[in-house]
Amino acid sequence: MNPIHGDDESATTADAADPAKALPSGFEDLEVFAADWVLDTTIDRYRRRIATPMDDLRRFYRAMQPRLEAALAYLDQFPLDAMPAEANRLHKLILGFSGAALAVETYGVASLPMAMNAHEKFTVALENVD
Amino acid sequence: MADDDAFGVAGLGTGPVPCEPYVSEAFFDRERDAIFGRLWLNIARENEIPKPGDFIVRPIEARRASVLIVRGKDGVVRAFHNVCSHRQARVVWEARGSRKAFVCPYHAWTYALDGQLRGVPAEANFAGLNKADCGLTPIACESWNSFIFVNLDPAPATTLRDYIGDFADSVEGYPFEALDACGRVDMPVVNCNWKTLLDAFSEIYHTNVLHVRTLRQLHGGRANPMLDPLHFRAFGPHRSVSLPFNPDQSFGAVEMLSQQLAVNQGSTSGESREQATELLNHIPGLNPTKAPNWLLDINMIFPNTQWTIGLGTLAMHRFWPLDAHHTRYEAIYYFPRPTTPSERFAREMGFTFFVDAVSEDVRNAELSQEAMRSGAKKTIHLQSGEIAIRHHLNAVNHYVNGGAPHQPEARIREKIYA
Repeated sequence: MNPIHGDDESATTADAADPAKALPSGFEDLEVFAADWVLDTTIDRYRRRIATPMDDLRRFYRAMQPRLEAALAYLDQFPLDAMPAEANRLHKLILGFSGAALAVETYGVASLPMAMNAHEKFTVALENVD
Repeated sequence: MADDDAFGVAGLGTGPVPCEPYVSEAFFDRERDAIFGRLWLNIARENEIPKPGDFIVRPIEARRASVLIVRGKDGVVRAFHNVCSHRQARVVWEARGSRKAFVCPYHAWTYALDGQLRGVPAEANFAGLNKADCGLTPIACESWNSFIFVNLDPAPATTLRDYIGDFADSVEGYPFEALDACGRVDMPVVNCNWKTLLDAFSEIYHTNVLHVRTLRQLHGGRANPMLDPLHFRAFGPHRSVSLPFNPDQSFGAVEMLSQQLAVNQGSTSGESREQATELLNHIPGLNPTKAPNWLLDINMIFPNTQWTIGLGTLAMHRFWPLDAHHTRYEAIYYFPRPTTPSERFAREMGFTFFVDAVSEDVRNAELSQEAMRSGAKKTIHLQSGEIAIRHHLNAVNHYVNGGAPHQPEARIREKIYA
């Protein structure tokens, strides 16, 4: 359990009733990653990925990769701009996963050594995507 | 004779190149006037200000200019110096927004969207004030394929279309308008000369080395292990370098899925790679050799806008000098607006990859700048695949030495790599 987010299991049980704090039916097993990876913006996701140890990224990858196609098929039932709260939460989780997958599949590192601290220099923003 | 080929391969030389243009403050002062004060500069895109009254404010630091770009009630995009006629206060302090008129925050002089001065509080106290002469100072502003260019020369020597010239014809038909969404990376200060950073995006000799963790598999492959380009073509000061795909590359399961969802080397609007290649094969300037293993072209609209055009994405890099040793860098990754959650996922992945790759170039450029400033070495060495760097320096020298803005068609030169 991530010490930053505590290990109070009663909180998890209480949250399950609130769609904004739950994953859709069938994806409940991914809940253990939600505290770290359900984030609102691309730069939040980027910072989380470069600050996460590779072992944790690999664990996330092993759990998520086999579920990705099912998650995308589930999400594609809904319009991009009108996803129910639970679907929106799953969507944020897989957006976070995209960077984790690059680290695991392609880079072999969470934070690129040749980029050094370049991320401290930039802002990123997506336009016309939601 | 060499002058006739100033931008042609024949005129570009093969020997070591002095690094003075990268480090000399006196040289930068000449660039400031002859290049950033006289040539057309891409600064924005029309869809950033879609409705009448929408505006953006962008700096051109090399000229200390604040440029106000606004869509008028008539739908026309205009640019002005963001300077009040009264006592030269900055009229608009926000970076973007929408207004019916611009009211100077100092004394409330009020300007219409077309720049005309409409209101002056206590106007009767100004002796002989002629409001018709006191509008916002216009900046030459023209669009090409939805991209907005300005020219800080009060009387530009050419139109934008004449300036871009044959390069514009060569990419006619590319679906620029379809790529209406984007991811932006803004780096307010990179500690290097604008050309030092620009050079990093001009060749792929470095991609298997510096980018060994990111772009390693993108170009070349077993048949082209040293990553020779496919083709180089100069259009006066502008150019296009065409670059090969790596047919031997392999991807992880997630990246493969993401690409099938229309991303990294995916399609423009959902078509297959083969269909997209066929579409783009009709555009003469894209993949000019019509190579089956084409990946993308790096196009430069001189001086500071680089366009990497491939299937499904258009990446734009703009390099804005702050002074001889500092640059503001904008990288914009354009793609079609996603329509489904899975497409949105694919775009997130493609953009994140783009952010990571450009991040690797930045720190390296800063350290190279520091090295050049140390004076340890006086020259740089360039191989044939780095010809874009020779071409850029040649064009820069042309202008700082007083060359004319317009380049006649006769200056098109090309090189086909074996």
